[in-house]
Amino acid sequence: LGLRRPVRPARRPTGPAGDAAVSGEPLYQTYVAVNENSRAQSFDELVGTIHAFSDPDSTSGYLVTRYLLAVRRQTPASFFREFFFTYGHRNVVRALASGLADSGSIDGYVWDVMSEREPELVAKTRVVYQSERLGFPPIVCLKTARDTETAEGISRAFLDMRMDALGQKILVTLKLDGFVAATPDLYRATLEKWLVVKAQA
Amino acid sequence: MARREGASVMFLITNVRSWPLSWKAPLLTAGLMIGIATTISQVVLSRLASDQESNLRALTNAYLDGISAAVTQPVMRGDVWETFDALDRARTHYTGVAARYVIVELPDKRVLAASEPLRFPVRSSIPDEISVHFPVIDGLGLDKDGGRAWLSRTLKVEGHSVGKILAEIDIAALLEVRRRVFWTLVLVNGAMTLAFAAIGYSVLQRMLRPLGTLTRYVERVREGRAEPIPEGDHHKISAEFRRLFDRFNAMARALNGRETLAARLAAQEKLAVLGKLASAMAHEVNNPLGGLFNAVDTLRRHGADPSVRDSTLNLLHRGLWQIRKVVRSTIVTYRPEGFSYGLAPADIDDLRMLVDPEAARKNLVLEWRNEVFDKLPLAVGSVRQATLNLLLNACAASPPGGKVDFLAKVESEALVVEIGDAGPGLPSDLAAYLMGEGEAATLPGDGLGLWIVRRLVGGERGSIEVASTATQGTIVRVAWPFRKDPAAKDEEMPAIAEEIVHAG
Repeated sequence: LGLRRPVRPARRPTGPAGDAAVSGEPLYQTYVAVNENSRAQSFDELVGTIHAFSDPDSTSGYLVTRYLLAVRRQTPASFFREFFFTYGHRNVVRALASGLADSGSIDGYVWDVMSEREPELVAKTRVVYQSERLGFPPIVCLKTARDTETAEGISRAFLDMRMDALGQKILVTLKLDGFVAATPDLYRATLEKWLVVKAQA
Repeated sequence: MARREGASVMFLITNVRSWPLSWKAPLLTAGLMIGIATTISQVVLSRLASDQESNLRALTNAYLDGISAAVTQPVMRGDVWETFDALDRARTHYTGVAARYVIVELPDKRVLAASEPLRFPVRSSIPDEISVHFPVIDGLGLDKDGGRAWLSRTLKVEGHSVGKILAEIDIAALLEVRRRVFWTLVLVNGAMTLAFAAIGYSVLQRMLRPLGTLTRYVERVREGRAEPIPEGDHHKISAEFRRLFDRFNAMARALNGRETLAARLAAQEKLAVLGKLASAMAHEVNNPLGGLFNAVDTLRRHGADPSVRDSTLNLLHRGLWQIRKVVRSTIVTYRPEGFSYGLAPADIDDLRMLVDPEAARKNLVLEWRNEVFDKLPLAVGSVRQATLNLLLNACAASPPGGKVDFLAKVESEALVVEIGDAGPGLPSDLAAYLMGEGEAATLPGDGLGLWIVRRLVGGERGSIEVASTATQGTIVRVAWPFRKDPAAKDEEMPAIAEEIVHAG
């Protein structure tokens, strides 16, 4: 797979920026997964479980699930029996696989990569919910530093990574096609979700 | 016979004091080795157990210290993941402790996190059947049979409890080490015990070999052959046994000298007896001789008369017959070929002919009962001479006009001869000597006859019993067991008898 669709620079330029692109698009999903022994088949069946979030600042590891709960007029405390943060997407998979948590919110990109790299661990989990595609987490810099030589150099390094031999090795390791320039429009859906969650709080 | 042998074996087994030294010493060595081995093994195992427990306490304390340091802060925050992550990482960090599971329990007795979340879910309570194993006060609880141990450690921050670490660890490996040490001790000590017992047995057998040689030669003395131990056997033995051998040889030489002397005395005694017998025989022969001469005179004068001639010839025949019986009996008793096997009833009755003159001389009543009706497998000369000696002794011991009883019979595969006299009784030391119990200090006078009797009866493996009282006289009972294979003994047996008969 190659880099399919270059994205224009961000609406509010924040300096050299790029979005990672998987499967040719700078998009990814949130997965809600369960332990392999769970009988749950959908998100709604996760009520009363012990839930593992990735990080309170994570879109896929927290925000999306908070949004799903908010539209149901629920909070993690009311919906789940217990919840905790593992501060790492891989840790969510570990928590699910060990049985520490019954359900967990995880970055779909991480889960997919792990299913290739650590199939035994991932085999102990099962995805019951996949969110819509959302903009891949961006690489950003301070607005004031956007036009500096350093920022532009870093931006070029990301955008031209697929053209370079070492860069290609890095992309293979990261299981990415490449980096593209993006606009804030790519994150509109994410922003809307954040607003819904914020309104509930 | 078999039962008697079995009984003697049982007696030997139950009577420890009678065991041979070559058994006792190795068994004693083995016993001591077992005692030492058991004591050492117990000390080693006890020390091992103590050290293992001490090491286990030190190890588990270090383990709990490490986990406590890692989980105290997450526990304070109620951080399930960090607590679990610390426990999960501890699996690989503490390879010396085989933890089956580790639980972090909050003060409300709920599980914050456990290394086995499926078994101990977050916020669950620990089942009673599991919590009962953990020590109430921080420490270590052991189940040696189950090969498990339970640890407990309270997590404290500024003196306040924020939770507790509970862990079950597998100590089967430690118990396996103990078990291996135990079996190693058993095998090594067992092998050493056996080896020492075998070496002890072998060495002692070797050390006691001279004793066996000495016993053999002493046994020969008992059988009448006092042979010195050959000088060649004196080498390679300890000084004690060498001295013993030298003393035995000195004793054997002295005994042989005494035997030779006794044989000479026996020959003289025999000559004396012969003299007595010759005198008696002369008397016996002389008695009919007067009648015979008369008969010859009668024949000369009235030989023409057939009736006188016949009656006179009959008289002559009876007289000569009487003389021939006396002469034959004497010849049979004293000729060397008399020591052949096959004792006929007549061989016993013949003796009466030899004793009668002596009995008649002292006016003794000879009660003669011979209940032997078949030929017996016994040495003729030996039996006859021993019996004759006893009969002559009885006659000599009895006062004039007394009674001498003679009885010969077959009893339990043996010829039994009983001779009773009305004498003053046999001195106890002579009676004991006759029965083969020790040596008589002196054998004066008639004692030499007793010496001959003992040698002759002993040579035929016979036995002598004496019942003697001052008022009732003496009864001597001799039993000669039948020879099972007389032919095989023809060469061996007469040695003693011939020595006595032909000595000098």
